Amino acid sequence: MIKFVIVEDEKSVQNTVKKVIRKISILNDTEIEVKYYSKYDKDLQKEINEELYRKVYILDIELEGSISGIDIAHKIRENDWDSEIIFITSHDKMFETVYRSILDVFDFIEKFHDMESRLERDLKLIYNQKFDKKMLKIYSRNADLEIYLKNILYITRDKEDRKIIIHTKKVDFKIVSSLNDILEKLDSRFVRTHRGCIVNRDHVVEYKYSNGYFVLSNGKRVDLLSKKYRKEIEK
Amino acid sequence: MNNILLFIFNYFIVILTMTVLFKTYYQLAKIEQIKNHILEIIMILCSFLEIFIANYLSAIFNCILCLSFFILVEKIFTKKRLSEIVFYNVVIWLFLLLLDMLIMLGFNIVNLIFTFEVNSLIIRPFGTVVMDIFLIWITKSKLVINTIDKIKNYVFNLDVSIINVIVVFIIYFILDAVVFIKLKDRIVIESITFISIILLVLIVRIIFNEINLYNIKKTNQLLIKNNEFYITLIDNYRVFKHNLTSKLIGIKAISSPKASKVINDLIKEYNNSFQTSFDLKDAPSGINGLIYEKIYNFNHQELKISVENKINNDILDIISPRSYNLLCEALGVVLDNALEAAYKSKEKVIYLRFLEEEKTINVLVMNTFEGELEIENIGKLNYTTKKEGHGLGIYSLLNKRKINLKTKIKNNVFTNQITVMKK
Repeated sequence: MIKFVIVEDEKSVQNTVKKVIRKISILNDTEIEVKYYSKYDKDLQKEINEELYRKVYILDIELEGSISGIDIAHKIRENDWDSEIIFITSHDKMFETVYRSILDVFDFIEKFHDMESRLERDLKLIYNQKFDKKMLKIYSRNADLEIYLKNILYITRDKEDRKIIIHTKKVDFKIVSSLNDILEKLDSRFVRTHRGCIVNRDHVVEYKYSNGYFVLSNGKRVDLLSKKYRKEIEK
Repeated sequence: MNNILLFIFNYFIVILTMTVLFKTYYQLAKIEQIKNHILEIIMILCSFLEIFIANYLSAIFNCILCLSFFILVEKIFTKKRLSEIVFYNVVIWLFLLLLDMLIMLGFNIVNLIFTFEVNSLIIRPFGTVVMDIFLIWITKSKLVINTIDKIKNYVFNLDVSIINVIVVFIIYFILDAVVFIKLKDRIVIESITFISIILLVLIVRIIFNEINLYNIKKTNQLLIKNNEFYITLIDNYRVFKHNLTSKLIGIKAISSPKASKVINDLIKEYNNSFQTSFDLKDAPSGINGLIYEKIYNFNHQELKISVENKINNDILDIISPRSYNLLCEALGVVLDNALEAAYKSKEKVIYLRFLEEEKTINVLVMNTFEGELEIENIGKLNYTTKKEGHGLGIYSLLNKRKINLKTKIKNNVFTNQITVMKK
């Protein structure tokens, strides 16, 4: 079941959103629940704290009172990084990039410009992604690290220290751990390709067993492929 | 029976004066206005009263010698702050004193009811054993430890000039000692002299204190005015620049090809100069200067900076000047790191959020980053995410009492949360 939480104080916008949600749910044949709020209150906080369902928040940025949609998004992201957030706004999208990055906002939709089709497109995308928001969580003395599994390309062992390097699209994280320990925290899409390498199968385009390398979706070639693990990889 | 009553009465007075003494001592820590100085005088008078009684009851002077000895030893052999050592020693000493009083009270009552020798060599050690057991209980009891911790937090969160308190205590102890050594017949003359000396010291101190306070207030007002002026200046400059470019474009349209080359150059120069993508008024005053100063070094428009301020009051009204300094220091270091990292990332996003909670002020600094990151080295001295790594010490901030820094990494977003205790 998917829960839609809509925070919006204009009735007309509420109705449009309702219409789109109904359409999408019929198309995908899933059970849904829709909740409406007009502003931030205790009930909404309860809703945010509840962790049972996957949620899609559709928030209006400009709300009555002192607490804006962005504040609500902050409150959601205090604990919950699994739910999707979509902002509806009538303002220009000045800080769109900022909030997209820091609050992991799915989309910004303008109220008076093509709102219905944009929302429909977004919801379809969310359905297609199947809420793939699993995270690898590593807590250390200095900092807490959380990475989406879908962002991890591959993991290798560091040559010098007893460390491993987690390669993601943008950042290479060096942490103290072992490949075996980390493999336990990952799901089935990750496999060993070599004594010193774990790979995310979703990102691999090509395996070259004879030459001992595989190619990733971003074009990068990694020379850590062993025939020994072929069975497991092709499972 | 009369004796018992007299005895209990004596102890009652001692305990009462001690309580008043320490209560005023803590209130003293808040000294800001003249009316609080009256408390100081009351305290001195109370201590005087206590000395009269202590004269024929206990040898506090001895305690003080021991206390200062302990403090000295601890200061030499440990790396603790002097104020903390003094605090813990005073607390322990207080406990000892109270215990001593209670046990002596008990013994003396026993002595008065059943007439046997209390001060004999057999009974005395028994008292010491009881005291030791009590002390062990104190050091183990969670209740006591928690209370002491609470008191400690309370005391240290006040802006005590610890020297101030020490001075008053030293005066008090010297008084005690002198009165104890000189005998009671000349006590009236001496007490008058002492009181007048102390009053003199106090008056001089009050005057200095007030002058200091006045100066600080004036400087603060001046700084706030400067800040406002600075912001309007930047605003004006922005408008001016905008107008200038449009005028230059106007002139360019009617000028010769050679002149238009020069004008092109000028337009380029003005367009490339610094533009803030956020409103400086968004940040709390004072801190906005810091942010501007830091961002100014990254002299280009690519950086997407957004500031959100949820603090409505003047920040100096909420946190103490010391906390404010610490916050600025922390924010400076964190911002330096954040700007450096964000500049190298694709999104180039910096986000600041100022929040006021019940007991704390929270500052959130978030930035995007790219490249290699070694988790174990975050917060270590001389480590930055860039490879050459000149020293930016987040580490030095982590150990401070009034400020707390928490680091989180979520995918390619780096979050630093600075928490500062309110007044």
